[in-house]
Amino acid sequence: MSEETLDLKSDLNELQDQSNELLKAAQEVVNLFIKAIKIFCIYPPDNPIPKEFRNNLFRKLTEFLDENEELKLGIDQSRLFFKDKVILKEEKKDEGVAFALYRDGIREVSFQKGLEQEELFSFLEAITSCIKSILPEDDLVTLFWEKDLPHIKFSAVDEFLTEDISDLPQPTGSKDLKELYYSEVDLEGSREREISQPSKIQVERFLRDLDLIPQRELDELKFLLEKDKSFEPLKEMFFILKEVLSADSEFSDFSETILLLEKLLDSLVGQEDFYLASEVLLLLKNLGEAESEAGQAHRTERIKEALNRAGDKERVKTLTQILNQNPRLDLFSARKYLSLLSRNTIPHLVDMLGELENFATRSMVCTVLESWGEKNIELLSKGVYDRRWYVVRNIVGVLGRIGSPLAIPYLKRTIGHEDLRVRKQTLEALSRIKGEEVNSILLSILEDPEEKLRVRAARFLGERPCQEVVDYISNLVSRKDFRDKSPEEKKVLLETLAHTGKDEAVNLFKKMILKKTWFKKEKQKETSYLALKALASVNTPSSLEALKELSSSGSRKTRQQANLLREKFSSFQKSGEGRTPEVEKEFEI
Amino acid sequence: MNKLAEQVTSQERKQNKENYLYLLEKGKGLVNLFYATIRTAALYEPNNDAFRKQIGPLMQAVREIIEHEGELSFSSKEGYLFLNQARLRLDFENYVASRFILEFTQKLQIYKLTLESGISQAELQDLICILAHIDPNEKEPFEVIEKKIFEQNLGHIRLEKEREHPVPEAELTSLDQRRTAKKTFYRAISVVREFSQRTQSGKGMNLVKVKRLVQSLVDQILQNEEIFLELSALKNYDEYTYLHSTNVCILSLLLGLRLGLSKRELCELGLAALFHDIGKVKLPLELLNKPSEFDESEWAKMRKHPVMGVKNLLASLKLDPFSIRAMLVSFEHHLNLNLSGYPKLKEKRDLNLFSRIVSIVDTYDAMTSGRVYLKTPFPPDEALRKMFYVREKVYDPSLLKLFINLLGVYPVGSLVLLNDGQIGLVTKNNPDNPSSPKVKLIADQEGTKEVPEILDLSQDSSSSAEPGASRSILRCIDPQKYNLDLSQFIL
Repeated sequence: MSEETLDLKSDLNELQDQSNELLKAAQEVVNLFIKAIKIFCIYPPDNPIPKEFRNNLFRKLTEFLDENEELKLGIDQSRLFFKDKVILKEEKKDEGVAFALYRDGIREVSFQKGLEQEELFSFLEAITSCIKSILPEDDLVTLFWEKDLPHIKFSAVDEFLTEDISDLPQPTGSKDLKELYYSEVDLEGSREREISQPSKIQVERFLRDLDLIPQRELDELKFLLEKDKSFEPLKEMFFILKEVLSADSEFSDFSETILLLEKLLDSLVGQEDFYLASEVLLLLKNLGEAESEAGQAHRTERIKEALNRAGDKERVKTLTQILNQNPRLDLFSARKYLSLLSRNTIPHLVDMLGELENFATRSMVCTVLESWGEKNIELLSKGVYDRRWYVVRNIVGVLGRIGSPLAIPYLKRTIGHEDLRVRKQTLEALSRIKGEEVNSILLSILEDPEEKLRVRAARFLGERPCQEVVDYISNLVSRKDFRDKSPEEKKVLLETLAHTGKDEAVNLFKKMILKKTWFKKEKQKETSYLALKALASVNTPSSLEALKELSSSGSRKTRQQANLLREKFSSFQKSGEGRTPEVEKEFEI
Repeated sequence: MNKLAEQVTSQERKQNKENYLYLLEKGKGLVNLFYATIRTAALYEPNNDAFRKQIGPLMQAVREIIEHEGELSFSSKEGYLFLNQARLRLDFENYVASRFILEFTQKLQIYKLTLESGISQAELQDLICILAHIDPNEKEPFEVIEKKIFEQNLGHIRLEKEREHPVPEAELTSLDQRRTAKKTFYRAISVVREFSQRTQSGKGMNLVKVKRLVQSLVDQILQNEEIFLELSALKNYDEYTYLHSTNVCILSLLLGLRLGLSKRELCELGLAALFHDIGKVKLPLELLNKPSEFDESEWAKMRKHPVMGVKNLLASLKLDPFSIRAMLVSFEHHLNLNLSGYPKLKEKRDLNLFSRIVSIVDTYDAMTSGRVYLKTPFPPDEALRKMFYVREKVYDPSLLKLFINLLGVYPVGSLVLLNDGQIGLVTKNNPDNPSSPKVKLIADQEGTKEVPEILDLSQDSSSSAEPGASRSILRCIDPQKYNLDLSQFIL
């Protein structure tokens, strides 16, 4: 191989190395850029972490620009290019930095030498706000344009800037001034002077009056400009809409405006802008009230119709699709929107519960349904007849949180539901409703085939002392099959009896403790011991007396256990702690 | 970068920002003082009281800035005025003065004027006198000033000349800008037409497209407002409504610029102005083009268009701040300052700033076009006068004054008859002498001139009519009376 060929080869290799290095350097900057934006999306701007990332990026980028004058990046939906090579590929096609730029028509960004820190920060801020916000304030091209970024150039696809303007407006006049000249100008000048005099005087007077803008007017202008800085678009829009509706003296015009608002609502919901949509809904509601107060029956009815339509079956279906499709949705605003719909929407919202795919949205809808409250129990309760157990469960939950006795008939139905989860939810719901009627339902649950449910019902009953409960549980624990129940269930039932029956239960406990059987001796021992502890937990003079009696019982085991409980009890009394929760725990069975 | 270096950089940045804000604040007053002193020096001798009253505060302001900054310099770059390194923002308080200094220094080929530490009041006074009395028609004005500064031994003053050949380049830029401006102007008309047609057929509109158009208008107006003033003087096109909307947009932007509105605010204003009459799209053409006055029922229909505008915008646009501004302007642009006008309001309130602007501009353009409300147009100067004398009740008086200040007594594009019998087209307003603008002489008794001549009436000392007297405007002429097409002289 000749020396020349070797030189050429090494030159080529050198060039290749240089190009690789440049690519690597660009990639490094871009990676930092992406990281900085991700960090910006997570942390508040005054946090030291994003600040550090931002400064690092600026340092790296300016180093790159100092050496290479420019960093020009090509953009497609999910990739960034440098010199036609992909230097960044984002995982998801419709998220991320590349997509945010691409979506707004930006196909190329070029950072140029001389870039200032503030420029870069403004650039980052604009992109971050676009990525972070579900509804960005504006498109990126506009945001960049507003920020004045002299060292960041971008090219955007704007069809209108390249399209031809066909059909230009045509001037209607002629081009010759001769006619004008001879009709306006008298060459002798005499007529001209006559005509011109008044005009001249007027101009002079005008000039004198015009003068300078005095300080007072300058201050007024400043005030006007200052006031405009606090322009509130929504407030203004509602002002206009109210005025427009009041200007619509004909019903057909009024109805047309309401129709526009309906369309607007649909479009806002379609854009997932529930914040604005709820504001429009609120406006409609307020307008409806105002029209009703003014005795405008037709107009009130028209608004009512619009409100009903906003929550009709079809629209709720659309809403369901939106809620299922977008996990980043602003659920707070969505909740506000749903809460403002008319009560006719309730059945559709109940139905919606069966279609929603994630917990957060279902929970949001339940909160909305709950807000309809006691007055709408009947409508809400239709959900308990739904064939889907999860809908029934959600509705039962809603009824429980409303806590109205009006829901009892419906809960009576669901307590017998075939699905345990519904029955559990019903139990929880019932526990929130006051009144003796609930007690008998809770007592009936003590016969449910599911032990967990029985135990939970017994616990709830412990908090609702009444004779019916004492009688029922006394009867239950006296039954022959009681000893066969699990220790947990027996314990809770006996505790509930101790708590609700107090002295009335003492004799029964004594009887249970001293009971002897020939069969299932271990089960009986277990029951006796649990009864003994329940007796101790009654904590009345008669229960203590009974405990004393038992401490000299014929059964060694009973004696020992009774003594132990008494000792514990008296040591707690001596220490002055009384029956604190800790002490109560000691007495727990 | 190590921590210390970073700290230093951050301190420097803070310091720079503070300096920048200081210069912005001081610059406004300084520019006004500088302007007023030069104007006074042109009229009075240095020992006159009027001049002394000006030079004292100017010296104080100069000294204060030099003490703070080390030196003081005015420079111009790409049509912006800089005080040291800070680009001064133009607003209604310093607009005239800043424009004057910019044009004045450009005319004298001065790129940068620096006043160094140690400058005395006598030196400053001499400099002002030199600048005030220099003949702008001088062949090499920069060299003349430089020589005088040297001869008078003004050691604390430094001048830098425009580096390249400013005149041809400026002309070239101006030609380019004119071409682009014309294209944007037509595009604006086309966008309004498209929007109107889509609205008429109940279709939505791509707001981004409109935004880009207005952004482009703002960018170009920031570079050269005169071209757009000229374009807005075009009235006689067959699609009057679209042209009117475009003109209102341009003039509103120009007024917004004088008010010092930000780019975003200008964009909102431009968009709102462009669609202020969108409520007319569903009115019958026969009504809009009716050659005679409207009867009561026709007026009733016309009065509905602000409300119709809101409805049309509501149906066509998204609900964002841009669209809401547009709705508000559409709704309020026929309401007077005292809330008379139409539509009648249920609730009393102050009119929005943008509505006040559009209301003034809309009336002016309508009065000078004579198409819809008035069937015979007023000459521009007369329209402004009429508006001025009813200002307290109808328009925002300060905004109207600012508008007249922007247009001049004879607005750009006015066709005027001079006292020597020539016919001219006003091409540039002269804020210092509003009755003597620059005029393009386009016709005489021979008919249209093939090569129009530009005449600065404020500088004119020769007259073909009466030797020894200067030429002046006799009155405006209505081009529509003769079905004249002024676009050949403007575009």
